[in-house]
Amino acid sequence: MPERFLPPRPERAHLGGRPLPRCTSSTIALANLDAQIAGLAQHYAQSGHTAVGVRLTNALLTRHSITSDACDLRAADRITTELVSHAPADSTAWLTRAHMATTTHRFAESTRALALATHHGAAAEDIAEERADILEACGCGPAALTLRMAHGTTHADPQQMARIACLHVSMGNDQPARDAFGEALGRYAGPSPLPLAAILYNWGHALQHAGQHDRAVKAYLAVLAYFPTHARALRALTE
Amino acid sequence: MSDHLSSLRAMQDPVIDLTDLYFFPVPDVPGRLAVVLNLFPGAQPGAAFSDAVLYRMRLAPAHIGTDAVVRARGEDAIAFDVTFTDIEPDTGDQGGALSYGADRTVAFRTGEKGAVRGPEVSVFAGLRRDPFFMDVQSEIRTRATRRLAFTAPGVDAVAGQNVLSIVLELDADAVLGTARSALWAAVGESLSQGVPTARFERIGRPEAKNVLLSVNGNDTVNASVDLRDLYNLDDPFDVPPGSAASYRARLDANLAMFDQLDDAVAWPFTDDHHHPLTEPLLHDHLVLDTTKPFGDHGYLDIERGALTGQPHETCGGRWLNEDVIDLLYSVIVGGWHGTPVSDGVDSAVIPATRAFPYLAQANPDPPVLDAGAILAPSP
Repeated sequence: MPERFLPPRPERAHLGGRPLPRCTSSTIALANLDAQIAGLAQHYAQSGHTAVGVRLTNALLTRHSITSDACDLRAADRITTELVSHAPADSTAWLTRAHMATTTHRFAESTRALALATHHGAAAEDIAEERADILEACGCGPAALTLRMAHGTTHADPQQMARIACLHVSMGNDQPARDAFGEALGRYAGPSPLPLAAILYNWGHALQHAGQHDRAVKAYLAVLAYFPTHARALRALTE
Repeated sequence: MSDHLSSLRAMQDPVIDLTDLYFFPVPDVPGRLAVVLNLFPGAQPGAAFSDAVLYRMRLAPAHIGTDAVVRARGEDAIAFDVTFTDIEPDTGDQGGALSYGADRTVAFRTGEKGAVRGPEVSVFAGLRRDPFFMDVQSEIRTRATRRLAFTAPGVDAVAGQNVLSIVLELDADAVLGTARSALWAAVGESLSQGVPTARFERIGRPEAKNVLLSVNGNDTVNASVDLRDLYNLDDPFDVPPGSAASYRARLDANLAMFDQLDDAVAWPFTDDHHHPLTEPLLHDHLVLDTTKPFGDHGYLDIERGALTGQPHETCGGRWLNEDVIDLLYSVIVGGWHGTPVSDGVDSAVIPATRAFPYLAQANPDPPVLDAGAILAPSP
């Protein structure tokens, strides 16, 4: 199939000489996310359905990961409080509450929510994933890595591989980290920049904490190639 | 649900999620054909096409083989490639480009005002009502219980939903060269831009993936494998033999289950132990007879004519308001002339019109699409 006329687009982003995937522009990705949130918010307000609330929370946390807008975090916190209040026997409500608490580093609350999610029948893989996030945030890299390797049913998933790469960085396993991260980027096939920005930001964050500042800066710059207004990447570069 | 949410990958990014393909003669205008490619299930006002995705429709001359299967070859196909720019800050719309043939390009903008009408090609892209309609939960319950579980009336799971739509209208002679063939096959694809391209999704007939290839515990060869992401990777006009073998096993198993839903056998397996519909459905494209006029009903008619030896009487293809779920279930359960099966939903809340761009204007306040049960395999 011959290459045809395509509208002009910016050059592809690079990281360490490696071309990164071509993704939907940040304007479109955020417009679609905004539209999704607006629709979910309206219907959650009308229906209060747990499934809608869970999707809304996840969308708000995704947008917060880019914009760092505290309003999104407050809204997600309020919604997850309502979810577990209105549906106390629903494991997804407790899992979402746990994820919210982990995001805001309230680990004791997150652990309690996970216990209730387990009690109400949440899948072991979902519990392990959230527990690994807590362990990682608390600096227990080896335990988090063990948990991810044992329960990760989607090791071929780029985001999962990138999380494992970040844990290797935190443990000083440089080559396994590079291998896993390269594999994660190589397997990234979708056009959405949202998961990719998370992968790149977390990689930069892990490198920064490991004292590899030059490589961290490159990762943050790659994040900005996808989201020029990515608040945490911009903040990290000015620190 | 047609092709909405038809793979895990598509669930993660609706800009690649193709929901439906339609292919029909333009009503009341002989010589013109229309192709509609819909995507982005549950799109809310403000939703936009990706500027990193190539939306492609391919039309290829088709023929009926000695085995009564309608086939088309990718090397004969004409591609209609549609790409979009970023959102314009001033207007909020997007620029679009349609490329086809050796060097033909049409620039347009999203939204009704940005549509381009031309003697050779017309093109529209933007947010519209989803014209598909179906009782999804009853269909899922039917597969789960192995009994027809539809009710009258049914519950339209798509009621009020929007999609992003790309509508092409073309002069058949000038663009395709109808002397090449009376029958034409159509497929839709979403692909990555650049070289090499990667295919995100492909679409031909409705429910090829979500119903016919679904995991139902019937297929003992691939007992629990969700084949849909693999299916999406294939060139629809050139499916690799290894993949086709997997789809064949799944179709044989599922079609046998559907045939049993009324406790009667309408489809005895062939001498080589396949369901008679398996091979025709494996060639997953819409087929239109360009010599026949527009009709409200035509879906699967050309495939029926090929299999039964009684020539098709309609144009075939797929019209926007056609009740394809009733037709599909009637055929796979009771055969071409069996007792009709209905899901109890007979039209969209606001049906499509007979004038370009056909699909009704977008719902400004669409409900949230209930994605929960759609991807979950039946037990």
